[in-house]
Amino acid sequence: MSARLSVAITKHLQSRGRSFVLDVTFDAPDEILVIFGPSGSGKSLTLQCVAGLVRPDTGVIRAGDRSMFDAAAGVDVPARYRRIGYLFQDYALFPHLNVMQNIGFSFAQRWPAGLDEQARAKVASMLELFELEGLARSYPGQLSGGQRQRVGLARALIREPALLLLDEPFNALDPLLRDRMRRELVEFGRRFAVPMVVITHDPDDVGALAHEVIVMKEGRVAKHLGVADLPSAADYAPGYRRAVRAILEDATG
Amino acid sequence: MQFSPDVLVPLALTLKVAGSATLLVFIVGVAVAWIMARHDFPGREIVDAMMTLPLVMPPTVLGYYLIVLFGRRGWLGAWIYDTFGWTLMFTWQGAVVAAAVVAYPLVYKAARAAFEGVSAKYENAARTLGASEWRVFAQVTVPLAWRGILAGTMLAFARAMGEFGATLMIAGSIPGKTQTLSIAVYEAVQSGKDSMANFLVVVTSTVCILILAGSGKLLRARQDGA
Repeated sequence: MSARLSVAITKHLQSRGRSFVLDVTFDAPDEILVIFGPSGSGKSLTLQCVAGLVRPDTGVIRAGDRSMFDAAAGVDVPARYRRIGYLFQDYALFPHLNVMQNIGFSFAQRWPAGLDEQARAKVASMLELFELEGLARSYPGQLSGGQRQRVGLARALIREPALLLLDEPFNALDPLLRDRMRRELVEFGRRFAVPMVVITHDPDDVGALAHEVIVMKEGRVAKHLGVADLPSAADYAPGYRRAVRAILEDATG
Repeated sequence: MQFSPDVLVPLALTLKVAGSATLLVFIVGVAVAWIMARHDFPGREIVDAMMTLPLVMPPTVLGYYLIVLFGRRGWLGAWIYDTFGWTLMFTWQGAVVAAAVVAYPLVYKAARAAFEGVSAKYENAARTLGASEWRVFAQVTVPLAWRGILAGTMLAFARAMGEFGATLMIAGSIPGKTQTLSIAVYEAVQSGKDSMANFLVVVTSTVCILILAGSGKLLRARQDGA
């Protein structure tokens, strides 16, 4: 079986005399891959390369049976054709568009933006699914953190992407809200049958979400852990989180 | 003094010249500002300095450069004259070019700051949602930068209305043809028509204040609405 996402890339960055080398190789499972690592380890850069927002120097990126990037063959599919959803760190909702217009953005191909019947029905069903009906005409500035995240998810998932990338999805949220949003995320992922790659520096995200984990350090994959390598006792049993933390801390050295 | 042709003719001409110049610098200024804000290339800093130069150079010096460029025997002017039998010198279009050059940095500076203020994450979000580069620009970048661009454009219009030095150099002071309000004021004072000068000054000041007040109101309305 071919992996849903297969990445083997390098990217050399240089700014103000400091240089950073990203050199990562990994395959992602059909469900949720968590990329764990401290800030500056290259997690976001990896995600941006997969999404097509940053061009790697060398290597290959494949999603399903589609080649997204192949330096040797001169393939570099533009971000807009990759069908890869991206949830940005603080969701990056368009501040000048209301909730409905944000969610429907990928349909409004004509200018000035107008939605046809079919697109409008789809937006309405997303509003319902994400419990945002009452907020359809609100602007992002008027929403709570949890609501913003749901709008961001709805906006990315309405395109039925082949893969969903999430950059620190719970960072901007109240700690009390995080557990609930983690459960929601797993549920939406299953519902839309979309594999996900989640980057985080919070070990709790790993415990709650991951089917596989790669631990990144200084631009490289320090460790790739399968579900069997993680403690099995779910349900947030006491000691479970501690055990996950211990494994991750061990991997990051 | 009432609204005689002495006032209405230069006022209409001023609005025509300032309006055309503003449209011109809006298109060029916004395009160049976007390129400068989003692209890196060798010599970028020098280009940026060149684009800002009209802000600090005396208008008469700018006017002189324009003559060198567009005069009948100028670098470009000679070719235009040989090809079309026409010259920019002493025409209202010449006044437009003079006003545009002087007003250009105001649009360019404001638009560049506005584009740089738009976080790249919004543009990237639009790209992952299937938007073409043109759509990213038209539906994300411009709406988010609009306030700053508009403010710069309003200032450019006011500046174009008041243009004097460069306009006089390239277009002269031909009543009904190239004599704008600010030049008419000068001519009135020079020929001792004090009441005429007074009235022209009041008209010019009123129009400028109206523009600034209007732009301020427009900006506040946008802030509340979005």
